[in-house]
Amino acid sequence: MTTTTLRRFRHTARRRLLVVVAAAAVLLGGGVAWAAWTATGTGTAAAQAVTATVAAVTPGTPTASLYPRPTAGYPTTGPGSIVFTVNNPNPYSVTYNAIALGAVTSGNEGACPAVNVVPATPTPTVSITVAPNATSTLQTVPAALSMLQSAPNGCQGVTFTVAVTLTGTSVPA
Amino acid sequence: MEVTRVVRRGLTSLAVAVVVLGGLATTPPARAAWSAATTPGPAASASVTLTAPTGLTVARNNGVLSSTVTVSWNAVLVDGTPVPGYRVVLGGSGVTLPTTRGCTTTVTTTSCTDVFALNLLAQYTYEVRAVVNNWTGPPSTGSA
Repeated sequence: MTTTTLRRFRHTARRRLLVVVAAAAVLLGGGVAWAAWTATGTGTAAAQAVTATVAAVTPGTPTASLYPRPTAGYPTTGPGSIVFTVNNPNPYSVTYNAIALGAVTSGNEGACPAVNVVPATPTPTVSITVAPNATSTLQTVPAALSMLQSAPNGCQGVTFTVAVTLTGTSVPA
Repeated sequence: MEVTRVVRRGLTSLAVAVVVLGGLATTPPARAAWSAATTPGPAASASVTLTAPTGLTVARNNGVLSSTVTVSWNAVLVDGTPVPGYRVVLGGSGVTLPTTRGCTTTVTTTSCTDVFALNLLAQYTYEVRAVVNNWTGPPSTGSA
């Protein structure tokens, strides 16, 4: 084979290779695009991410369950249950899967100082999904609080609130 | 020889391209997820109120040289579990029966016997309260 023929063959082989690679890219790349988008249309489009709005927690009406913690611990998970709703002002669903408990407030600080009630350990687990622009149903998280054994007699029939922070992620549509 | 090398190189490149693009095609499209958190907000809880024991009964046992009274009542439950103790007092006086009379300061069962009810003519009355640590419930209805 002469040098000229060899050059021509190389040139042709490269061109064929490029064509094949390009075709494969178009076909397979088209597959990716099809997997992500099913709508078709023409014209211009613009997209802007929404700004997440922070959700709020609101207390519910609790069922009386808390009492001084026995030495061996509460026999059930009922005592110390907390109730609340959480609203999701965002246009997408959110799943909250972690809860942090903060300061406790007593409904009768004089007869039963808030220090008598503490967040229980271990911290309870949650899994709360809230629809877009909606408020959850009443959520009950058991065994969230504990009452000290030394709690005074005035701690009977008192309502407590605890600061709750929920964290999670948006749910892909 | 040179032709064979060129063809091999071309085929190798093609194979690599197909593998890479094939991997892209089978990878699911990326989806974004935002972290979300609430502002700290209040959740509510409430403590129970002890109730008074019910079903108080008094049984007098008169002997030749002694007279005792056995007091019994129904258990008070908190969260479905009996409270750990009760305080028995003489009705109307609020005085807790001393240990020497058989009903210790805190009774851990649902009955006790007052062994010092010597006056056969007297009518002894009793009240029982549920006790949970420092908590004391309301008295039962007194019983003779």
